[in-house]
Amino acid sequence: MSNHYDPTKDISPSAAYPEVSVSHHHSDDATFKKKVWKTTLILSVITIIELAIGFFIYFLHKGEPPYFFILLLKGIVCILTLAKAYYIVSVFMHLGDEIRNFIMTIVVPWLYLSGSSSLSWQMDNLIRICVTNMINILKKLQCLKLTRAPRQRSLPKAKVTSLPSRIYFGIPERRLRDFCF
Amino acid sequence: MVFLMSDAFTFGAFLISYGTTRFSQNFWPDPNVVFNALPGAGHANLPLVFVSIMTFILIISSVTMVLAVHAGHNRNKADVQKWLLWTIVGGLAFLGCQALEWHHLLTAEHATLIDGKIELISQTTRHNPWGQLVHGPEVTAALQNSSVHTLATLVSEHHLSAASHAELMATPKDQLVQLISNSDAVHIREKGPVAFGGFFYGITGFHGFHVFSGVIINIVMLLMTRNNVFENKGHYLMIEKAGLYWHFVDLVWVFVFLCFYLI
Repeated sequence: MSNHYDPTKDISPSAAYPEVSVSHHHSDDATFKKKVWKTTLILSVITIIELAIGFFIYFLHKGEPPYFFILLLKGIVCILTLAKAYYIVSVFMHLGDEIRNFIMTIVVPWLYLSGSSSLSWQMDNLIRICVTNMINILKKLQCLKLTRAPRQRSLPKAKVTSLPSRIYFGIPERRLRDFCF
Repeated sequence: MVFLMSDAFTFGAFLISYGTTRFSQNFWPDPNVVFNALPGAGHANLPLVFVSIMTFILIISSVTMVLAVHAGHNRNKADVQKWLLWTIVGGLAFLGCQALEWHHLLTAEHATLIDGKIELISQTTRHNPWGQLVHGPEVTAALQNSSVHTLATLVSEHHLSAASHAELMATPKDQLVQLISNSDAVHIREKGPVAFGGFFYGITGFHGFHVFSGVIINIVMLLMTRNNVFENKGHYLMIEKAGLYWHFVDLVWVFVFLCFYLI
C-alpha cells in the first residue's frame, strides 16, 4: 500500500534522495550569508596574494633571474590556485555538503590526472634546474683547481690543455647532459 | 554533472597539452611582457592589471550566482531575478574585457627581428613577437636592413620625434636608425614560439565560449523566472543547475588564469 501515489507527499528529487541531490536545507539566512561572504573574502585575498607574487616574479625577471627561487614562487601560486579551486567546488558548487563517496567519485580521478601530469612537468623542470646548478657549481670548483694548477709549474702545459671533457663522479659532462636533457 | 565532468576533462586535456608543449621548449614568453596593456592606458607598462580585473569580475559574478540560487531556495522570485541579472552583467563584462584583450593582442604590432631585418608583427596563431630581447650591434645592423616605413612607424609610435609619420617617411634612413638605436623605449625581440598563439587563443576562446553559453543559459533562466515557470513548478532546481555550470566556468578560469598569466 505504501507504493500508492499520495498527492500530499513531496516527490521532488531532493526529498527522494536527500543525500545525493543538489538541493539542501540551508540552516538559516544569517549563517549562509556569513559563509558566502567569508568565501568571497578568502577567494579575493588568495587572488591578491597570487597577483602580488606575480608582480614579484616580474621584478625578479628584470635582473639576473634566480631560477630556483622563481620556480618555488610559481609552485606557491599553483598551491594557492588549488586552494581557490577547493573553495569554489566545495562551497559554491556545494560539493562539500555531499556524502563522502560522491565527493571521492569526483575528486579521486581528478587528483590522479592533474597530480600525475603536473608532477611530471614540475619534476622535469626541477631536475633540469638542479642539474644545471650542480654542473655550474662543479665547473666553478674545477676552475679553482685549474687556476691553481699553473702555479706548480712542474706540470707540463700539454697535459692541462689536453683535458678531454670534464668528468663528474666518474661521468663525463656530455653524458650527464645527454642523460638529463 | 556528467557533462561538467567530461567538460572538465576536456579543459584538463587542453591545459596538459599546453603544459607539455611549453616545457618542451627552451624558451617561453614571459606573461608579464605579453599581457601588459590596459585599455585606455596607451603604451603604459601595466602587467597583470587587466587580467586581474577580469578575474575579479568572474569571482564576483560567481558570488551573485550563489545568491541567486539561495534566493531560489527561499522561493524569493524578486531576489532570484535581481541576482541573476547581476550575474548576466558580470558575464557580459567579462566577455567585453576578453574581446578588448584579444583585439589588442591581434592588432598591436611589435618590432621583431626576422631574417636580419625588423618587421612589425602582432600576436596571431602564426606569428609570435615575444622572443628573447636583441641588443647592441645586431639591432643596428637589422635597423639598417629594415624598410623606411617600419622605421618611421617605430619612431612615431614611441614618440621619438615630433614629426608626423609622413614627414618621417621623407627623412633619411640613417637619421631614423640613429633615433631608434639611441632610445631605450624601443625593445626589439626575436620571434617567439608559434605554439603560444594557438594555445592561448584556443583555450581562452573555448573558455570564452563557455562564458557566452553560460550567459545565454542565465538569460533563459531569467526569462523563465519572470514568466513564473519555477513559481508554478514549486521549486527553482533549474537555477541550481545553471549555477553549477556558472561556477564550473569560474573554476576553469582560475586554472586558465594560473597557466597563461601567472606562471
